[in-house]
Amino acid sequence: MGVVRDVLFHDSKLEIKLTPTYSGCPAMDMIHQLVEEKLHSKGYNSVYVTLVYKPVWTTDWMSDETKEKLRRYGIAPPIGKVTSKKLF
Amino acid sequence: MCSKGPFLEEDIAQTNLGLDLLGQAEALLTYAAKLEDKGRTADDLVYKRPERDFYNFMLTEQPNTDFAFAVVRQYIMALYLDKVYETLSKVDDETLSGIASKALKEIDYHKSHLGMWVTRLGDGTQESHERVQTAFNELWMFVGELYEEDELDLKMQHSGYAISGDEMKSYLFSEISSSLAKATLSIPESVYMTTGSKKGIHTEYLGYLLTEMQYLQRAYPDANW
Repeated sequence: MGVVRDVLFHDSKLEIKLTPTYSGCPAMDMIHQLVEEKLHSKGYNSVYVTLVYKPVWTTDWMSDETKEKLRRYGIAPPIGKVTSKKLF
Repeated sequence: MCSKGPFLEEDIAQTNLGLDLLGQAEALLTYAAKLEDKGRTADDLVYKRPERDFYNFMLTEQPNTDFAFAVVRQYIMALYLDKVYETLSKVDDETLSGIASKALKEIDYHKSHLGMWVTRLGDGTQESHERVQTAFNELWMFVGELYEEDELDLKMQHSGYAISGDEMKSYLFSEISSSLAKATLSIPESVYMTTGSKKGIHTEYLGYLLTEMQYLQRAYPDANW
């Protein structure tokens, strides 16, 4: 989805930067938790997640694989690239 | 936010507009709590403040009398917020400009969606025309607060965090007049404009909203599950 914006190593700590698809996204806490759980299970114990808003998320960041998954799930994925700031 | 829409999809759309506003409020309150640095969280600010400590505009607490009221109230707020977020998206504070840039994209959509409904209702049937005109007339007295200035506003203007009350007023009036003209509606007559929300003064409706929102916290303080 392009929600993971960056992964940074700070000495022994791992920082994951996430951005919400929209401000009120109710899945953010769940995503946050799953990211931590996954990394803990891979042996990274010192992990923290930070929320970033800028640059603002756009459907342009969705991979072709994500779009295909959406299509298979029954959701029409966006076509082409966003040209206006008014479009998502 | 509504549940009075003319069809189910519109109610869902309005609920999603509400969700955007909820997300923006959470981001702003989380940051406010952090800046305040007194160990309070966004939840504390939402669930533990009494009525007089809320500084929302009276317009935002007006009830969903009918679909037209919900549309007009949110349309005017979308115009206002669009200007506020546009200004904040350019400030040096990175957290604030980030939240505002994100919110701006959402509010742009609110503005166009709700503006479309103003046109559609105004230029629709006689019934819809009358109802949306009534909503504008009844809510008009709450518009003055949106361009009122107190000391904090002046300080914010000085540091580039807000536009002046005059600029806000002329922007709101020009947007509203052109959309009313397009919707074959008339500008409400000049009325007494309310004032006081910047001091925590409200209409009776906020009390009911807070009673429902804060019930759990008041009945079971610091409940956890």
